[in-house]
Amino acid sequence: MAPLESVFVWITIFLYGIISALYIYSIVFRNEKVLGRAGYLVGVAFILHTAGILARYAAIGNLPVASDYETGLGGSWVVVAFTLYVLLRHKSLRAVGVGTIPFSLLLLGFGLMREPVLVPMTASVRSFWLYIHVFFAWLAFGAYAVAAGLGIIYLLKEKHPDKEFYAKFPDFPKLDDLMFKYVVFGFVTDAVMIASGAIWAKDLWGNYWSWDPVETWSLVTWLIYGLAIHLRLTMGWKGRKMARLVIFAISGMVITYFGINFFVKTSLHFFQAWQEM
Amino acid sequence: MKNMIRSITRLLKSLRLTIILIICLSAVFFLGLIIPQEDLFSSEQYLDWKTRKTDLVSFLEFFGLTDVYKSPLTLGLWGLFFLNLVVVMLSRIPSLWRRCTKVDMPSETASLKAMKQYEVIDGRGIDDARSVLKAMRYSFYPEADHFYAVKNRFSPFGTIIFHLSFLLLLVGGVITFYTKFRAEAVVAVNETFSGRYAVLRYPKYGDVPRTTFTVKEVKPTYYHKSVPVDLTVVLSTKEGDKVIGINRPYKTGTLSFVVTDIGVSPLFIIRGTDGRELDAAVLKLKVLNGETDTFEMMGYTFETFFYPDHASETQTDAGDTSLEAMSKKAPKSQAIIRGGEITDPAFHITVKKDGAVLGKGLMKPRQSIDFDGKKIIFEDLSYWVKFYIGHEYGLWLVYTGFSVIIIVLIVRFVFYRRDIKGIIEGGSLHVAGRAEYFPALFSDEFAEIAEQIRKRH
Repeated sequence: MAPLESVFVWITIFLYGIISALYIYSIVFRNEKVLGRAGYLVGVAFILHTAGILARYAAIGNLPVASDYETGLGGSWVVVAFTLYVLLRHKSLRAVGVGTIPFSLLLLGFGLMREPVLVPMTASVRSFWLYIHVFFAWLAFGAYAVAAGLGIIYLLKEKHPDKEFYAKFPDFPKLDDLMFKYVVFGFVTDAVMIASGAIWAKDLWGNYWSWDPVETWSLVTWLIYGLAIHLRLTMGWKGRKMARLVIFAISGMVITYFGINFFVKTSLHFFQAWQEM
Repeated sequence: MKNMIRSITRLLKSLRLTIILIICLSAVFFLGLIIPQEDLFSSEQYLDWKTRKTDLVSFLEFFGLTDVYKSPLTLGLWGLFFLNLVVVMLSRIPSLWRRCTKVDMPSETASLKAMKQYEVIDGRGIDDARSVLKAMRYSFYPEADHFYAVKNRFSPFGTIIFHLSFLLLLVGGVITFYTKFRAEAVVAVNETFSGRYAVLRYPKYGDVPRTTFTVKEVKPTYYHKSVPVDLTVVLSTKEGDKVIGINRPYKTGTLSFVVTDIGVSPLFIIRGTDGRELDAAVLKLKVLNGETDTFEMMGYTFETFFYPDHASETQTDAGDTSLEAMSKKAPKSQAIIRGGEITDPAFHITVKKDGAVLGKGLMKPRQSIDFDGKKIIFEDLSYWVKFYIGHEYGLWLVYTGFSVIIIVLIVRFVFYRRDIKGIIEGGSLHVAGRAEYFPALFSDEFAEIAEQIRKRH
């Protein structure tokens, strides 16, 4: 990491740790004041997170879109950006961060553990399509994470129907609709991610689809969310069932991004030197 | 027989079957993730695994699990999936058409109360509703004392188009599969390629178009000699010079040449003690990443190790925290190759025959090493470039399928259908509405509509 980037990123991760603790505290002890303050801290952490990304950009000359660390740095930024958007737009959804901020903390932490060395973009990832592919992947990731966060809120509210703290969250039908809206948004952006990846793969590897583990798992994730949409529209899966499903489904996205390394030793998506292409 | 056909059709029409098939396909893909797949390994690696775990691999191979994506089970699931898709969609078209074209006038207020959103607005009439809803781009159908309005009426057809566009992917996928040609070719600078492929896969149908080009120049760009950040290959083709590289393949018709690797191509000459040329060869060696490569001339084996920048190869930069210094220190997984930029090339060569070392030494251009009464001269150096060549038809169908899927998804979920109905009863306007996908979020939109009608003078 560049020195300035290192400062910003470590403060950010420290803040995400504190915010996660505050969110958990506010939910466990039903403290609304703490919940509100955690929201302000999300804004501060987001600014520092952005500064960390800009510092890296200044050091290497490109946006962080390539390595595991960069994916963690950028991916968690998008999840927090989505969280902020929800916080600003729906005041009653202040608790959405209870799912998304610890998730961002884990993403960023995972990235930091994957050797955040400063290297410029290798030839294999220098493509216009990379930006489209990664940008839409992040959008999908952020939307799915927020949907999972809303799922958590739904289940918490349902578990404590009499508590005043949860009464301030949106009513069930609205939560349900929002959850579905984010799933749909993620599903569309996920489709763009897969399609742009296929077009890029044709130019880079010569095949638009290689049944590579990352490709396959992103397809599986897309299918899981497609299934969730079908279950809701055709079989009436709403409310609790939907909430549980979107919380479960985020695991597909996590495996696609970070879990593949644990399953397989070879993937075209492990970008190394030319000999690995 | 009729009953059987009816049962099969009913099964294929079932959405439960779609869900089961999606779960089965996901499970099969998961198997492909945890079981090593033949396609993802080199033949040597796969053979090695097979030798070490013979029983396990035989078992997996028997069930097609080492090539799971092309196994009969997977193909069968895909077949059923597409059949189910077509049958479900075709069976839905008539009812969808009826739904989209029907003007669903309300008959009594009780039916309105049953809808998700419902309001009673005193002192307002059909004309008030018409002007508000028309401004909001609703199609408005009035009658004496009731009305029906609809927005994005034909949006439900998007569902049909979305699902049927998967057929474009299927057709495109099948065509690309049967016409797929894959090959490799290694071409040195100034060498002309005229169709000498190392074929990896012949097309099952059709031929491969002919093409010819000459590699004029290969120019790798390294970040301070460490990270390969670009590669430029200039080809001389019938259409003129083409500049290609990583991520920038050479495309001619349906043929594409993807640059996958480069290496050095030295010219070695063997001369006798009298200076007479005995043999000469332009070789294609894979030594740029620090590997050792061998070649044979006149019955001798030459082991080579290449220094792209011999003068600075042994220099270190301890304590330097600059980007290039950190890049050099980074592990191989961070895309580092050793000093790739060729500024001071040198070969370390060991000459062997029947296992005995006959000579060895370091050679820079136009230098030589003596062995067995002869000398080998490092005369010249250029690059070779390796291409991965692909050709298939039907790719545009796949891309069109992807595009239609994305466009229709966006249209479907942004412009979803809204229905508003109203009845005048007891001097009040009873209005009710519903939306397809987000009924609770539609409540804000409906409240806005009711408010605007209420405010009208």
